[in-house]
Amino acid sequence: MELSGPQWVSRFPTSASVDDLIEPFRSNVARFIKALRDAHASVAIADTFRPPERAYLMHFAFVIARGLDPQTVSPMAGVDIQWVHVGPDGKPDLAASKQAAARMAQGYGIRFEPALTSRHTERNAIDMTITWSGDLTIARADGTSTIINSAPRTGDNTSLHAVGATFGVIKLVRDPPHWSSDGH
Amino acid sequence: MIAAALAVGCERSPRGGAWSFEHGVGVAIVDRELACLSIAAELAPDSRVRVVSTMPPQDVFEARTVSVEASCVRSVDDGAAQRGYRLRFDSASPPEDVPMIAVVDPPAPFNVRDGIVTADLDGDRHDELFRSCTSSEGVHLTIWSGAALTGQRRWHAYRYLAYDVVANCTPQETAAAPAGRQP
Repeated sequence: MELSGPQWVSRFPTSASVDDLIEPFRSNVARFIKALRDAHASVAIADTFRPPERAYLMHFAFVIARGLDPQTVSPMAGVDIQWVHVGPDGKPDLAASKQAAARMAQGYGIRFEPALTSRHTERNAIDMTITWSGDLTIARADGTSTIINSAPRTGDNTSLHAVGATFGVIKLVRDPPHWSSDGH
Repeated sequence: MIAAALAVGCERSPRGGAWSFEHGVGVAIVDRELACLSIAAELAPDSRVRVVSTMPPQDVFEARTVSVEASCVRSVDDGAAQRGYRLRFDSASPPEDVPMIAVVDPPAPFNVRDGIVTADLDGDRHDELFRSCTSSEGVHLTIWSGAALTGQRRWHAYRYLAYDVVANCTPQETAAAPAGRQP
């Protein structure tokens, strides 16, 4: 077991590759992005797959730094981290454990409680910035075309959300970059 | 840091016209390397900025624009309509990695009482209140007139966090602005 600390931050990195999504969402996203680019829209992918191991590390670093007893944290398969630091007397050093967790949280740049699971950890979500100028003539999944001439000319456009849905790529409106297999 | 009431004189906007939420409010964020402001308005160097941290207890920090800084605009948040500026804080610095509401050349004094920041930004004798909440992977920042959530929402911005968070937003805080209206 390796003690908690900032060296963990660079491990289990987030992916920005469509190839790291799971089928059928992976193919659905690839076809939707192709339709967008064929229509001369700009697509910039931020995140796709966020490893569950990273979510686990971020979540428990955050809550331990804010007072959770590290001795209560369940282990996760594949993450050989020791949250509990031990003092010279062989007893748990909760202050050192908290400090190490805080350094991890700082390394991640997190100030809000990370979630343990999401569509990203399930490989069923993508965050991307979509923009275009003028009218967007884009193909739906069935090959028929539609013209989007309404604002905004971004991924927030509700007509574009309808096009995405034909591909099985569903918009989560409250998070502008986020699309997923079911809108969550 | 401003512990009590902060008196700020009435000023004209940096654009020379009347102050507006659209051009007078942006988003500030500080990390280990840079203090940033992104905003729609074109600002002069040394513009006065009041940065409201909505993390409890709320507080106000005094800053000034230093220079144009393109890296302060992220397309995932802002698109091409925003401008980025480097900020310098006059005294205490706000918390890092927290999106905050930045008011440029504020036309009214800010008050901090019981951990709540208020200011009558539009001069209608109803205080504006400042809020933030988390959606699935971002922060929604809002300004409300009269009362938070039940009053009139005057301004809204979203900042992408790039990690999944425990959501606590209400629908009022995340709703898109009707076309043609102030967000």
